[in-house]
Amino acid sequence: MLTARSDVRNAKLDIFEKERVCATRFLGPEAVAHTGSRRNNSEIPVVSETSVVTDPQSSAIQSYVRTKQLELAATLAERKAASSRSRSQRKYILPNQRHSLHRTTQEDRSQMPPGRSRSNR
Amino acid sequence: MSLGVSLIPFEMRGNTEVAHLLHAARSPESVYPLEQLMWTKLAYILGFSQPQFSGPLAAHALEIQTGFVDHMWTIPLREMMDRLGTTTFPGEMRFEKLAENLNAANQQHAAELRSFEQTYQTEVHGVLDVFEESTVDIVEQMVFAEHGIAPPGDPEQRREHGRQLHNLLFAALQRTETSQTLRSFHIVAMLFAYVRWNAGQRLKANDFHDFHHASGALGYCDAFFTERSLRASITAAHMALDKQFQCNVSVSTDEAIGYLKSL
Repeated sequence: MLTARSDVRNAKLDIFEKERVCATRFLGPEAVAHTGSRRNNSEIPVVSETSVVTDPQSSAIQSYVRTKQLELAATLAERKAASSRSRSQRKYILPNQRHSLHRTTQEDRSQMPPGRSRSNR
Repeated sequence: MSLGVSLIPFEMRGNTEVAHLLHAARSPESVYPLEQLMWTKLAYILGFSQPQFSGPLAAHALEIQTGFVDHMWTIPLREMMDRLGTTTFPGEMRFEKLAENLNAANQQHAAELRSFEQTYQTEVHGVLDVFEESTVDIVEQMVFAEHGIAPPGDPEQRREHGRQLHNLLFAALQRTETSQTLRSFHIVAMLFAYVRWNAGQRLKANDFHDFHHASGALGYCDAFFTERSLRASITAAHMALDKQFQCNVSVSTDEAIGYLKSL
């Protein structure tokens, strides 16, 4: 007898099977695992020792892409941290610092071309 | 707007979360943080592929492939759109058919559902069924890497391993901590469960895309700009996915701008 679960399962399986277009189906052990206590990009192994991809060419290019992905993630994390720092600095501006912030804004405006302001950029 | 930064596809995210859970269970220090594994550039949002070479070019294959990746990594959305052209994606009708089938099945079995929790568990089983085969692949790779034991070719044995892993991951999804790792499965199962439990609501073709977007955004982003009905599902009291994953969900331009200004 069909249950709701099997109906749903079959329908979803059908669509997923057809949608399976990518050659690399998951970032498996060779992708998520690393061999040391890496905490910066320079230490990322180009070819992981835990890789089980038997085609060395495929393994090398996958590692290359993974390195680029991790570099991208590191860049995003750095930008987020920088944005957070800037936010926390804005939050705790002392009254005399507000004046300097205001002055900086005025200076920025004075450097804009005539007839153009922040509001219409 | 994202400068080409994109999330890897849903299927890859789900499988990466499984691989991460299993590897971290063995040695937590040996894995990259999950949040670092989910990003790619827009040329690869449908998955990763690279040109293959044979004959004299094979010796230079890696060089050409890395150059190709470097090039694809910088392609802006505008150029990608030009390359793809204006041909309509042919699969949309299938999602309409799928929605129709699921709505019929949901209606037929609605009386079997006794609680939202039960509905969620049913949907978890559904999601795990879809991923059963690839979770076996993950474990087989782990076993091969550690013990040098090649995967058994016997389909029945693979099915049995798949069932065991299914039960293991189902148990993991009943615990808050591990369901946070398997977040793509958790979020999608919650959203499908919401529709089924909300009697009278019907799935639409676009929901399949929307639920995958939601799983990526809620799971890995600080903010999600979406439509009103999806936010209603995400923020409903028994769902609270925005709170679980600390993600701001905006539905209007004003809200989105307000959020961005607050950064």
